[in-house]
Amino acid sequence: MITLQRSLNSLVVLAGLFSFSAFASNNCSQEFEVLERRTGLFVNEKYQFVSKALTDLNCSKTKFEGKYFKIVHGTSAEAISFKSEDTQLVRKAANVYYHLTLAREFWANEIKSKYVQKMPQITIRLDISNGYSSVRHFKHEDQEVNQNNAWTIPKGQTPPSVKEQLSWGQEIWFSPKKVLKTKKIMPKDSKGQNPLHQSLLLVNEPITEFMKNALIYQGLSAIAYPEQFNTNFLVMALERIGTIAVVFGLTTATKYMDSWFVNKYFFIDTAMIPEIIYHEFSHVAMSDTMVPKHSIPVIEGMADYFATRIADRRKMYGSMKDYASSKAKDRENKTNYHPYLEGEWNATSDFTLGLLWKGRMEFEKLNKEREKKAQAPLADYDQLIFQAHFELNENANIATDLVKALEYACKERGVCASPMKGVLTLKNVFEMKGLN
Amino acid sequence: MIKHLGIMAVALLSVSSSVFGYSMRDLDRFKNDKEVKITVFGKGEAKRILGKYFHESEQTELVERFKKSLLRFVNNEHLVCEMKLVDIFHNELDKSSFENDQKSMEEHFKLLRSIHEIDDIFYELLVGINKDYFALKELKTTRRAQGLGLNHQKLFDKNDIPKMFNGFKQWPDESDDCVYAVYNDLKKQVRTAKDEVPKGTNELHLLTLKALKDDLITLDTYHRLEYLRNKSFINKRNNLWLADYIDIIFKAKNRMVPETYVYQTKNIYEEHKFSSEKIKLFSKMTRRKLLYTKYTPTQIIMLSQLLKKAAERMGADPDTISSTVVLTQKFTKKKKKNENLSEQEAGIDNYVEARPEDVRIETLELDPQSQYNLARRRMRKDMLDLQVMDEFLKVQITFDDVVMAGLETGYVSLEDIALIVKFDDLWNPEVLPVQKVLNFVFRVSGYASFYIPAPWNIVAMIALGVTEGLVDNLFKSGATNDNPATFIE
Repeated sequence: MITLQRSLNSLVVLAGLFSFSAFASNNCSQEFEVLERRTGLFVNEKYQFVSKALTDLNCSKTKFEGKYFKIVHGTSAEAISFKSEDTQLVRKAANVYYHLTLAREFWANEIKSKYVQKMPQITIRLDISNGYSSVRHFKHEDQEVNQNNAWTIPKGQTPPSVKEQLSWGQEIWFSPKKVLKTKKIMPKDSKGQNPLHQSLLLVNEPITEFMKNALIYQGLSAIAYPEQFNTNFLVMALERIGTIAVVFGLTTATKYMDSWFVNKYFFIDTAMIPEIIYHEFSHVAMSDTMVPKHSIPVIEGMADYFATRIADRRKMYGSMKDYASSKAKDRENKTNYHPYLEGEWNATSDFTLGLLWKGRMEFEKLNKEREKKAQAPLADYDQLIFQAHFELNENANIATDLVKALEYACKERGVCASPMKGVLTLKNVFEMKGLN
Repeated sequence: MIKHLGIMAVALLSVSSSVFGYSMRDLDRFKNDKEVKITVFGKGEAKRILGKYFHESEQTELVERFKKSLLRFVNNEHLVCEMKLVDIFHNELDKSSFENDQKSMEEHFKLLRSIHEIDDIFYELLVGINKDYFALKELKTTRRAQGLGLNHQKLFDKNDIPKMFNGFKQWPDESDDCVYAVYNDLKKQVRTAKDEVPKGTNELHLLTLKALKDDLITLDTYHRLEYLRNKSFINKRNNLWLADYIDIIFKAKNRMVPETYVYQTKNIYEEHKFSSEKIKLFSKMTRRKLLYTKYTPTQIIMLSQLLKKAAERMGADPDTISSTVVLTQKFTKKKKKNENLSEQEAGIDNYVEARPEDVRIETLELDPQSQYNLARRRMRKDMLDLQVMDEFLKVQITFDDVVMAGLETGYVSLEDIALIVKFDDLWNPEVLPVQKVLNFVFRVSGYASFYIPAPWNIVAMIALGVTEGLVDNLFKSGATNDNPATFIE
């Protein structure tokens, strides 16, 4: 009897210890070095590696796997070990895990997205160069090789007819960095897109026309008053012709100087760029309505917006020594709308980001005005964008669908305290960005 | 007990309502919730007044007594007799500890304005009527009148003097006859010696003297009429009468407030100054006052409805869900009965009725910004349609009037004004004063550069071109962007 009692007691104690350790193993955190940008004056911004705690790690495994993310290498199913021999890979894994956690916290706690709060663990693949296949998960490397890129893939499964059934959840893939010579990837017919040529085009016509008119006037004077035909007269004429020739020559020469104004090499190690990590997670967060099947300006622009919010910086995805030589996106860009911006080839333009950010600045101004008058804010702008995404899908365009979705979220979903003021402010913003 | 209660109930009811049915609650409409600035006296004066009536109980009592007087006036008295309101208030103050001479009454009105129980328009009316009320009451009327002087027989022949001065046989009692109304009636009948409407009041002066000489009016009446002609507030009215003001307050003010959302003003001084802005630089006329002077309640409602329609069309009306605008065009293929005949041979009866396969319908959904532009352009057309209606004969409608009407009816709040006023940028874009100056400077500089000797003229031209480009960029707006996807700009 006593033995039974003692056995039972032991069992209870063991069960308690086991459950405690199970509880403890899901709340592990460990410090690793992660990349943080520092605001700099130059295009090539500085960065530093700082020690940060990675939270919600699964402590029973010494791997980059936790409650919300599993970081794997390539097409592997196993998470990357803390003790992996490839120290660069470990650094990358730590960086991705840390910044994804930041992004998730933003979406779950600030945006309060129920979809993100309930989201199961997602797999993150580093240095994967395979293409995505909607029927096989991975394309063979012979079919497609990816580099300098990052993308989100939707969940899927192999067709029922396939013997070996596979299914996968949403994943984020980061392809490896590869240094490419810009001249090889620039369009061959790229001429005159550089700032020097564009500036000369502005002054070419007025100067040339002025000189031509002056020459014509001089010629007519010579006919009317032949006695004026002397050396000074000829010198003046030659000066004018010379000016026209110089301007024409400079304009023509600068037309072929596009390569002087781009970086010599192009590369981007996407897993090391914090804003790219936030951008990709934002795709995941909005995948309940905007499935990331293909890149379109609206989907990319909205992901850019939330990435900018998490990163809290004006210039996004800019160059960093050793990691990126890319052109930054400016959230305060002055681009005006043109229908060409709706095309998939323009999915990476910063117009949609600029449009959404412009709206943010206008609403912030109005919210501050209302605050001074002891009134409730006009709208939580992040909520406005978030609620708008429920009205969109992966085929939405800017001029109709995005605009309608924002107005609907403001007025019908009740995000704006004053429906009329909110809608008219949005219309004003759209007009300011050339959607007239 | 029941009898006493019954009497009390009747007494209460008689205080609060009457034949016209206005209650104390209706008088809340007179409170100022539109004028963001006090334009009738300065901030210093407002501060002094609030300091004078420091105690809240004093303010409350004064407001109550004023409201009681106003209620009695709007319910029981003939609204055209403006001085009756001042008289009622004057008598009401007799029962209290408040002073009720002219100056004191004016101070009371200042307090009412300072605490926004009344607006600028009502304040001006009250102060003016108050001045006339006391002036006429205390006027010395025994002084001999000046003589007629030169022969004015032609003038007298053109005017039926006994008929004109019939209303002043006895001075109007402000109950059955109103001083201002009878005086206005007299003024309208005056003609010059050439049978024209006079520009000044000299003719009226001569006619009044003649009426006195002919014993049609007393000396007392003569002096009162002279006061009205020379010094009365009636001469500075801008055609706004108390009856008209009260009419607009009850029939138009806050009659179109949206159901779904109402903006609650916390501190009116912090709101947009649109309603209190002067229409011209040195004018005393504000936009709100102009609305009251120019339009009737019905006209104000119609102008506001114009704005509501535009808001509905652009999807901004809080009480309406607006669909997308869809343009449709139908194309019917012409089908001949007899293909062998030519057009001339066959005639107009040659065509058969279209079959379904011969008809094509093209539909085009407008994008939201095109719909917004279309709503604004239609609003412009609606303004023109209103203008040609009989209701608006001889009244020039402006966009500012439409916005002010929207504000007055409560459809548009003080918060929305800043965006509503931009509606007309589509056909009347705003050019800032600094832009006008810069345009002039660049034009002159351009001409001047011709006279600079070469090669400095080229340098000057390049510099001018670059500077103009940079300056143009500063004022560049998306509204002027050429967007080929839209066709309603």
